[in-house]
Amino acid sequence: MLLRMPKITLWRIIIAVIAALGLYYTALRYTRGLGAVTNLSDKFPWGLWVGFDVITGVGLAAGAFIIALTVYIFRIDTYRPILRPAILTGFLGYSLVAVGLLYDLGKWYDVWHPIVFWNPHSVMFEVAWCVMLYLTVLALEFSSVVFERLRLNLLKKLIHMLIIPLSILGVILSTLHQSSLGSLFLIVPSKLYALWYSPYLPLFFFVSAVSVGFAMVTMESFLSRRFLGKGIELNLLNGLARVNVLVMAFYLTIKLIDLANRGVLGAVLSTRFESIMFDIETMVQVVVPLLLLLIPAVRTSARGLFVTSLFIVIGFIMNRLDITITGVEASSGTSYFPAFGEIAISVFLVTMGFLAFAFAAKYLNVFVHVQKKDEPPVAIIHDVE
Amino acid sequence: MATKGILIDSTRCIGCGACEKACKMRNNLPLGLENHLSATAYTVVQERRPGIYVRRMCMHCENPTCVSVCPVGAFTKTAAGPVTYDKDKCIGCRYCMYSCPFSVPKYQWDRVIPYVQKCSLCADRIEEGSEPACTAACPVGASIFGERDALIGEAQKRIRDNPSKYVDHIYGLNEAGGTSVLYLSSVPFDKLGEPFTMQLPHKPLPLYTWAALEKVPTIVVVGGVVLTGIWWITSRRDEVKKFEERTQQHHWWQPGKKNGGTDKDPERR
Amino acid sequence: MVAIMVALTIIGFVVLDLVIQSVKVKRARQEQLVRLDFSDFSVPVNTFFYPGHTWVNILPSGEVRVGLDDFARKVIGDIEAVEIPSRGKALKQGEKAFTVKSGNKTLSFLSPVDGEVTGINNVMLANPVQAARNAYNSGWILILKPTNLAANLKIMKIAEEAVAWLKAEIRRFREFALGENLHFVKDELQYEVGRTSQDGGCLTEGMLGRMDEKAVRFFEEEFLGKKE
Repeated sequence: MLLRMPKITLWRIIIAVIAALGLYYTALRYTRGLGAVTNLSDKFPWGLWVGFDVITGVGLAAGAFIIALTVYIFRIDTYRPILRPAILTGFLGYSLVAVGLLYDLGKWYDVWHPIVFWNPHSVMFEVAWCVMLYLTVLALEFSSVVFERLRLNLLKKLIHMLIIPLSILGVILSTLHQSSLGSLFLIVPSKLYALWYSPYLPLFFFVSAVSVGFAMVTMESFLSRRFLGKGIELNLLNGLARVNVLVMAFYLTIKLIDLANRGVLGAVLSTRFESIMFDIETMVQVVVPLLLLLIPAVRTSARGLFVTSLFIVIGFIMNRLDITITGVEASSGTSYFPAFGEIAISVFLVTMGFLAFAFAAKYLNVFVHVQKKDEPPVAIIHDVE
Repeated sequence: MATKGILIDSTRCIGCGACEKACKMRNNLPLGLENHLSATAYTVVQERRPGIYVRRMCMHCENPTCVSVCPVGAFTKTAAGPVTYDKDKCIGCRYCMYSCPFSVPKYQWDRVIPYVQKCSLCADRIEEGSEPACTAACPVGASIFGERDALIGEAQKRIRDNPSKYVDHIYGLNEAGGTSVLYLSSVPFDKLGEPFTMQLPHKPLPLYTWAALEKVPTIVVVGGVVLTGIWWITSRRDEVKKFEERTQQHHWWQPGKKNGGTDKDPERR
Repeated sequence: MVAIMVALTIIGFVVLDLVIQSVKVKRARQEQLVRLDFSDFSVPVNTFFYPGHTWVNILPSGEVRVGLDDFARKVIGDIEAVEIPSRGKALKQGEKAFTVKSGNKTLSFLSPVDGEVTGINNVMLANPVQAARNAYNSGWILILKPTNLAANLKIMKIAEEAVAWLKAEIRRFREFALGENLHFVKDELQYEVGRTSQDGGCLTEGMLGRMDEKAVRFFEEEFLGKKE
């Protein structure tokens, strides 16, 4: 067999460097412990891995349940072309969360403990169960694509029969744990900065996860086009963007009402570091995308949708990191910035996710051309002699 | 059994560190002075204001945050008062450290297999009918062990007897829903530094998350019913649409047969 | 601080990719003539084709959807603007229906049926470049309520007939492009002839941009049927 050298491109070099660093720090983390790789301390026990890899990661994978809800429950068939990529991204996203946990948990090999040792009073317990169950649901939902490739038609049919109960379960589980990630912070009223701490954190987390779910599905379409040359369904993305306008407007409204009710609206104008971060985050996550999407030309253009989604995704990430990290820095009595090893591992995990997506998209039938009702069969003229 | 606790009277503490040493010996921790609570120091005495010493240790809350947040139930509030830790259950998520209002749990960051470390109120000694090592070691009675109710009575008596010496506040009586470790001070607590400066609610913190968690069964049931309902409606709608399409086709091909009895039922075709 | 760091990291990667892409696009542009393929056409079998390169689709409501076909779209390249008559306007078969702009060139298309305008494609107005790419789907332009449909359809082609007609049109366009008096693409085609096929090379998308005004008018008359 002839082994061919893969073509060297800039991206491949970057990926190789990231992988090398990632593997190095992985080895370091498992042989020397958390202290050797991270800047975590007794005063600051949660850092980038919890904040980004786990809490943000779960939110970014929200697109799967939204599209499953649209296609299977609301039966809006037009969105079927983006169903498989969305489920795949969800599955990979949650898998990365699980892998991220294996890095972050001190006793990572006991990660299964919540299955046997129960504590129903713990939000973390509920999140752990929901994430475990939902990862299973996503795996089953996506398994039909794998069965299709392996031509195991009987199994594919079995999954097909189960798909409605699975989707209903998936939507319930997602609603629960997306909001529960916000509930995690309900217990630190004295530690979290007042602009972020609210009894409505679960609602905020859920609504912003829905919003970022739409944005992520849009981003996935663009990334697929960019790296895999798969087409995008602009009219579908346009539809998602319009629904997202409503979701974001709702989010902004309840946030403002909550700030006013708690009497901390004035803190928005403060020059404290936290307040400035809160303002930046809100602008990037909601205000700017909302204004952009109100312009029809932005809504209907590929570039406009891409830029808007990028805003929403970055704003969302900032929001989650502000709550897990920035918002508790003042009360912790110390400041935290991740060590290089923490950043390297996080980048490594995200890169692995991208590679897994590309791999699956190449070998599985992820981007199916669904024959639409209003699209007739076509005759193709290849060449005219 | 009534819950036990410790009353720490900062006006009596002389900062000798006997409690620190006793604690370290009792728990087989490396000896040596430490300024802050750590994985190797479950209690420390700190000079917070000139001449005023404050001993820090686990507060052993009445309704502890750590017990509530731990996903695997590694913490237990025993009937006798101590909050104990089961290192075999622990998975190392450190949610207890993140959420503890008094920042008590500490971690063995330098170990490959790390555990959470904190004062256990010498739960085993209490079970044997003895008292914690630290209170036993205190030469001036700044820390005394007893039933929590009795300690509250004692604290109130001290304040009553000496109103000029004490601020009229027993720290731990109501903070975070009440703690088994109580403090008396001669200066207002908000001038004593962490964790006393923190504005803690009197409501036990676990109730904040419980308010959200108790809605879970409702969401599951209502969500399940609503989603199944929506699916039923949408799938019915699609069936009706298919049915209509078929009937229309039928009329197109046999326009003459308007009242043909058998052809009325499109399911038969 | 952490939030800003993560945000900047992501933006950094996106910007890096944009730079890589723009370098690639620059390189690709130099090879564009050979790369872009003019010869692949999808012809939906349920669509009627009017000789002026507009198409008609009959909707369940009895109204018809009208657009320009993929042949015209490929000749034009990027459609930058469309001018559409307002709702309620009555059109006659063979009369000017809408106008398409690309660069500084303008082309008029004729209405394939008689009818009244009852709908216009707003997406096409707002973002014609993208929408028009899918000529028979998102690229529709008007909805008409036909008044003389049966008669109108008689001169239109569908399915196998449409395929045959389109093939002939492509052949005719190739001759037109290579024609003696219309030498607008001659140089480019000759450049290509040697490298691709022997029957005159494959044509590239967006030829309209390289035609002079005379050629544009000739194309409009010959292919879009504007003879008067």
